Amino acid sequence: MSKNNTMKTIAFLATAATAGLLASCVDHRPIRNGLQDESVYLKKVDLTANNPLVGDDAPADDGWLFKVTTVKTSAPNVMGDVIFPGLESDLRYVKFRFQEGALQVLDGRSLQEDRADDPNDDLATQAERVMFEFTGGHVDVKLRESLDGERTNFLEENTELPWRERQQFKVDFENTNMEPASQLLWIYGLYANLCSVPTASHLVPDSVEWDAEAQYLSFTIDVTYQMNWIGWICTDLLHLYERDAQTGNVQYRFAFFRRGATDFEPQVIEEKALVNKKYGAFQSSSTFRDHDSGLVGNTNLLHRWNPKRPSDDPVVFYFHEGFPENFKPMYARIAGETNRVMEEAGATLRFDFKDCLNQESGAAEIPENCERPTYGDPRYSFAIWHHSIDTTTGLLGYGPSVSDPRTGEIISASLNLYNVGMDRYRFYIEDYLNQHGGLLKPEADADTAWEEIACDEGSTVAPGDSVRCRLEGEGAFNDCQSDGGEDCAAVRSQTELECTQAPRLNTQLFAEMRRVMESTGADGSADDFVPQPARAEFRNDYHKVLPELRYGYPAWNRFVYRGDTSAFQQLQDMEETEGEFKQTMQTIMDGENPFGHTALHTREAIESQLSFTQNMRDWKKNHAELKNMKDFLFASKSIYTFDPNDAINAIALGARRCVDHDGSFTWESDAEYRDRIVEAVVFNVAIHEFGHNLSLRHNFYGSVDAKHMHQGQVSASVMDYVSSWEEAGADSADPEDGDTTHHRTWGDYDQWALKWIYGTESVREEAMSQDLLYCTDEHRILSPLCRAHDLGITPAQITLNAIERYDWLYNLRNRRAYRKFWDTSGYVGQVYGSMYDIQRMWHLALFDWGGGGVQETLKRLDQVGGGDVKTDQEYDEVATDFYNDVSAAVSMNIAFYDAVINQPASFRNYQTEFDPFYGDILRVGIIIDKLFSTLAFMDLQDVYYSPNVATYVSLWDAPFGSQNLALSQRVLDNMLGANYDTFAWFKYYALLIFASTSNTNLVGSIETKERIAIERFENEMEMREAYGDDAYDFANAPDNPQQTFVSEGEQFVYTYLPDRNWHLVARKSRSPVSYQYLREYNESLNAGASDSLDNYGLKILLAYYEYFNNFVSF
Amino acid sequence: MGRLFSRLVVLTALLLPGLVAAQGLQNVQDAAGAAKKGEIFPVTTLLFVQHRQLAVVDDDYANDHMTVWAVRAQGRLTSDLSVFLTGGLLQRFVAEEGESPFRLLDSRIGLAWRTPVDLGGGKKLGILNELSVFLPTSRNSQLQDMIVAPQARVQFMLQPIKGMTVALSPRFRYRAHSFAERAGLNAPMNIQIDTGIRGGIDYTAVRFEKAGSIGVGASTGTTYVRKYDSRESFTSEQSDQGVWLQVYDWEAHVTYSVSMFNFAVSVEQGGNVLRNGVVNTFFTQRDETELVFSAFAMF
Repeated sequence: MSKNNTMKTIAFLATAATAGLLASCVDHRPIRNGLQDESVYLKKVDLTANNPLVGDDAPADDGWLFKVTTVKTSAPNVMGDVIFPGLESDLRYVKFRFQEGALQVLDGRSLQEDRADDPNDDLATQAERVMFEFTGGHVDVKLRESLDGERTNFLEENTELPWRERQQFKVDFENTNMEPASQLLWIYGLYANLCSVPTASHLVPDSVEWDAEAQYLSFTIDVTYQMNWIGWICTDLLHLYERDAQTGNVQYRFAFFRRGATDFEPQVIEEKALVNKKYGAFQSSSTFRDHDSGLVGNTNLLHRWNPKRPSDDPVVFYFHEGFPENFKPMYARIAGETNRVMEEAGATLRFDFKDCLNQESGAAEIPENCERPTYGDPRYSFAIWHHSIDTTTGLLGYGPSVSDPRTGEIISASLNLYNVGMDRYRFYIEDYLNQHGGLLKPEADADTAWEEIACDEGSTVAPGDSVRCRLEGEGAFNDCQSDGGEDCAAVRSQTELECTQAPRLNTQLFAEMRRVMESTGADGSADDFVPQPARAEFRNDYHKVLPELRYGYPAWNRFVYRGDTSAFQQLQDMEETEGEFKQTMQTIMDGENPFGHTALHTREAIESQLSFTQNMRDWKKNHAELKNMKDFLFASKSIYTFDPNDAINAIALGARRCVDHDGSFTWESDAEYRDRIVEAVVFNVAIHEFGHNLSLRHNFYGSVDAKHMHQGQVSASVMDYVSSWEEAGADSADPEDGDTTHHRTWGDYDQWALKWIYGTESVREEAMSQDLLYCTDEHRILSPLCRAHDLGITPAQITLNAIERYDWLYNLRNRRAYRKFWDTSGYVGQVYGSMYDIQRMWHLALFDWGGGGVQETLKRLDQVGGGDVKTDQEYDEVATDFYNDVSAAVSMNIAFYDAVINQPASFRNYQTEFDPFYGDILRVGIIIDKLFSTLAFMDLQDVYYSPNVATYVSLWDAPFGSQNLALSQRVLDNMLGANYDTFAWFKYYALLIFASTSNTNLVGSIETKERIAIERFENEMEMREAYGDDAYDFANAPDNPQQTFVSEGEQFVYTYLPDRNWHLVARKSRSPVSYQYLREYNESLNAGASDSLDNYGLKILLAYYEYFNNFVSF
Repeated sequence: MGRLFSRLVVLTALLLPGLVAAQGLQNVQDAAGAAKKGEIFPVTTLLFVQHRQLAVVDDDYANDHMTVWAVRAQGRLTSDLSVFLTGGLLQRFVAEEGESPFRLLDSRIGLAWRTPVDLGGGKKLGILNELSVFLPTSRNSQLQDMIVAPQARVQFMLQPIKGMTVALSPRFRYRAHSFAERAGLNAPMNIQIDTGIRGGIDYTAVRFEKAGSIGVGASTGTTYVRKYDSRESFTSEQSDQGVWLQVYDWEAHVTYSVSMFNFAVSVEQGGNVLRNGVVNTFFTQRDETELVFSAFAMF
C-alpha cells in the first residue's frame, strides 16, 4: 500500500511538473488584426478618469487642457491672415464626455460653481456646455469570442455590451460638428465659415499620439475649404493673384494633456490695480458668477511662467525643422539677456534655445537631453521659421504663449517668424536698391558700385532725418548722464550734429509748406518746423505729463456690456462699408466723376456732392474703426503684421555703413546692406515676439520715452511698433562685450516690466517706483501720443516725421517703376493714414493742452505726487514749450494739407497713368491725396478724442492759436479759390464742403461762412438803391476792369451776369473769397472784351452759398 | 451532419477511454484481470470498432455516419502494474478526392495499476489508476500544434449486487501546445486543461450458459475544458484569461458479450452545456442524438 501510495505521489508530481513545464513553454501566435488600421480607438476610461499625474492628496480632477494649433496651410493660402501656420488657440480647460455616437469636449469651467453645502446653488437643471464633438462608435476592441466566451486571436470590434459599458470608442476625428478654426478664436470660425466651405476633412496619417503615462492625446486634421467669393468681408482676405485658387487646405493639430502638481502661485490682478498703469503683462481673464452677490464677475490672473522653476530645468524653445542656421545664434543672446534680467529679478526661471529637431539638417552639435516634440504639442515651446511665402499674406511675427486658465501659469510658447515678411523685405529691398540705390551716391561716383567707393570709417550715408538725429542725441544724453558725464547737453548737441545728413526737408512739398506758413527759416532745417524748447526741464515735464494722456477705447473694455449687434455682424457690416469705400476711391483714381454727369451748380449736383461727403464721413469713421478692430484682434493674439512699406521704409530711410573690405573702408554693397537690414529685422521681430512669450504686452509709449532710451535706440521698449528704421539703424554690437544697455537687448521698460512680472517682492517695489512710460493696444486708438509706427518724442517731431515719410516715399507708393508685381490695393489705406493720423496732435492741442490744460495737469501732478507746486505764472512759463511744440505740429498739419493740394500736375499728377498698351498702372495719381486733404481740412471732423470727448470740429474753424488761425485762413482761401490742379468735378468741391460745414451750429466763428457770400440783386435799381448811383457807375467805368468800388470805407466788387440778369456784389473784408472770384472774373471778362466768358465758377459759388444760406421755406 | 462530426471529434479525442469504460467496464475489468492472470509480460489486445450515426439521418447520409477503429494493447509489467498503448483510425464516409477516408486518432501510452480497497462483507471497491500521455498523431492535434497531453485518471468500481457494476471515473488532462491559439482566422484558443468525471451503471441482465450474456447500462459524464489564456489584455483585466467550458453527455446501451467479443448498441446524446452564451442542454434532440454500434474483441 505504501509502495502504491509512493508511486501515486511520484506519478502525480511528475504529471504536475510536466504540465507546469509545458505550460511555461506555450507561445502565442501573432495577432490577426481584424481592425481597420485607419481607425482610432480610445479607451474611454483614459479620458474620463481623474488625472493620475497629480498626487493622491490633490483634489480629484477629471479635466484636460486643450489647444488647437494651425500647423500647416496650403499655398497660396486663400485664408491669408485669418488662418495661417502657427496660429493657435488659447489653452482651455475641458472635460470629455461620451455620448451615443459622439465624443464630446465639454467646457470644463462654468460661470457658477455647484456648491454642495448651499441649497441655493444647486445646478440640477444646468446642463454641460458642449464645445464640440467628434462622431464615432462605442466598441470593445477584443479578440474575437463566441457568445460562449471562446476566444480566438483575431482582434476585432465587439458591440455586444450596451454602449455605455463598452470600453473603447472608435473615434472619427475628422468628423467634428464645429469648424476647427472656431477653436482658434470664436470669431475666426465665423469669419472663415462665411468665406469658405469645408468640403473635406481627413486625419493626417500617423498624426495620432496617445501617451497614457504622460496623459497626452494629439492628432492633426487636414481640412479642405472651398472659397466663397461673397461680400467684402471675404474679398478682403483674398488677393487678386490668388483668385485662381478655389480651394485651400489647413492642418489643425488638436492637443489634450494633463499636468502634474506644480508649485506655481497664481496671482490675481485687480481690475484697476496700479500696476496696470505701469507695466503691461498679459492676463488670463476668467469670468464667473460671484457666489455671494450673484453678479457676473471677473478674475484676472497674471499670465506668466513659474518664476520658481528650477534654474537647472530651463524653459526650452526648440528650433523647428528648417530654422535658418544663420539666425540661430541670436537666440542664445536673447536667452542670455533674458536670464540676466531674471537673475536680477530674483527668479530662478531660465530660458534656453535648443537645436534638437534639426539633426538631419546637419546641426553641428546635438545638445544634451534632447527631446523631439512634435510641433503643436502644447507642452513644449518652439521657435519656428515659416518658410513658405504664400501661406500668409503679410506677417512678420507671432508670439503666443498659452497658460493654464485656472492659474495663469504659462506652460508653453511659440516664437513664429514668417518668411513672407522676411522674403518680402528682401525682395522689396532688392527692387528698391536696383532702382534707387544710387540716389545718395556722390555724383562723381555715380557709375561706381557702392562697395568700390571709399569712405571714412564709422560714417554712414542715409537720407537726412532730423527727428532721428534728435533721438540719437537724447540717447547719448541719457548714456552720458548714467555714466556720470559732466556736460551731457553738449554731448547731445554733438551727437545730433554728427548724425545729420543731407536733409530731406528741401523738397517741393516742404517748400510749399514753408511758403504758406510764411516761414523765415533756412531751407532744410528742422528748426523751421520743430521749435527747440526754451527750458531744459521741458524734457522731464513732458515725460511727466504723458501718462495723463492715455485713453482707453471703451469698446474694448471687458467690464461693461453694451447693447449692440454682435462683433461679427459689426465686422461684416464694416467690411462691406469699407468695400464700398475702396471701390469708390478706386473709381475716383481711375478718373471717374463720383457726382454724376450734372452741372455742379444745380440742386441735383449739390445734393449729390453732399451725399458723397456724408458717405466720405461714414467711410472714414468706418475705415478707422475697422482698422482699430483688426489691429486689436491681431494684438490680442500677439500677431506682428507686416506692412510691405516697412521694408521700403527700412531701406529707404536706413543708413548704409562704411565697412572694412579687406583692409580698406568702402561702403556696404547692396547685398551686405540688404542682409544686415534683414538680420536686424529678424532680431527685432524675434525679441519682440519673445517678449510676448514672456507675457509682455505692447508698449507704444516706448518711442516717446526719451528719458529711458540709450544711444542707438528709438524706443525704450522692444514691445513697441516703431518706424522701421529701428531695424535699419540697429547697431549689431554684442552685449557679451559688456554693453548690457545696448540697443539690441531689452529696453529699459522691458527689463523693469519683466522684473515686476517675475521678481521678488522687493524687486517689484523697486520696479513700481520707476517712471517708465507705458501704454498699450487699448490706448492706441484714442491717445494722441500712444501710437504704433510713429517716430519722434514730441507732437511736432512726430508730425514732421510723418510728413517726411509721406513725401519721401512718394516714388515708392505711387510709381510702378521697378516692381515685379504691384499691389495698389493698399494705397487708399496708406494715404488715409498719412492724412488723418497727424490730426491727433491738433486734437491734443484742442482738448487737452488748450485753455491751460498743461498747467492744470502739471499742477495736479505736483500736488498729488508731492512735487514742488509752483505759482500759476510759473506754470504758464512751463507750459510755453508745450504750446509751442503742439502749435507747431498743428501748423505743419495745416500747411501739409495745403501743400498736398497745391502739388502741380507736372510734379505729381493727380491723374493715374496707365500703360496704354497693357493697361497696367504706371503711376497712381494723387487725386485721393488731394481729396483726403480737402476733407481733412475743410470738413467737420467727427472727433472721438477720449472716452469723454466726442464732438465735431473743423480744422479751419479751430486751428489752435492766433498764428495758426492766420495760417488756416490762408489755406482756406487757397482751397476755396479753386486754383489748384485737379479734376474739373473736384475743383469746387472744397467750396461746397465749406458752404455746407460753415452753415451749422457746430462751427465757432459763425461769420466765417460769409467768406463766400455774394449779394445778388434781381435788377439794376435794387443794386443802385443799396450802394448808390456812384458806386454802380464807378464799378462799370471803362477804366475799372476789376469793377471794384468803395462804399462807406469798404471795398466791394460788382459784376453782372447777363444770362440771368443778376447784379452781384461782394465785400472784400467780409467775403474775401467771393471778392477774389468776382474780381478775377471781371478782369478776364474785360480784358478779353468777350460776352461769352464762362461764368460757371461764379454761378457755382453763388449756388453753393445760396443753397445753404437763402432760407426758402418751412 | 456537421454536428455529428464535430461532436465525434470531441468524443474520440477526449472520451474514447471513457466510452470504453462506460460501455464495457466489466469487460475491461475482466480483461485487466485476465492480464493479471497471465504469464510474464502477458499482452492483452483489444480491438474496437464503433459505428456512429445520427438517430435521424438526412438525404446526405454519408455525412451522418462514421466509423472508429481502435486498438489497445496492454501488457503487465508487474503484478500490479500494466502498460498500455492505444491507437486508432477514424473512417469517414466523405472525403476530398485523393484523400483517404481514414484519419489517425491520437495515440496514447500509459501505465495502469490497481489499488483495490476491501470494503468488508465481501465487498471490494475496485480502483484502477491510470497515468498516460496522448501523442498528437491525429490530424486535429497536429493542426492544433499539440505536443503532448498527459492524463491522470482514476476509476472506482463497485458491485453492489451480483451482475451490477457502478463506476465513477474522474480524470485530469493537461494539453501542451506549441501555441495557445489554433491556426486559422477564426480558430479558437487551444484547450489547456481538460478534466471531467463520468459515472455509469451496468447490469448483466441475462447470462447464458454458453452463449454469453446480455447486459444493459447507462452512463453520464461531464467535462470541463479550460482554454489557454489569450495573448494580452485589450479591454479589461479579464480579457487575457482563459475561459472554462463544460460539456455533458449521456448514453444508454445494451451489450451482448460472448467469449472475447462484446457488442453494444447505444443511444448517445451530448454537447456543450453553454450554447450561444446560455445554458442549453438537451436530454434528446433529433439533430444530435446518435445511434452507436460498437464491437470489441479482446485477445
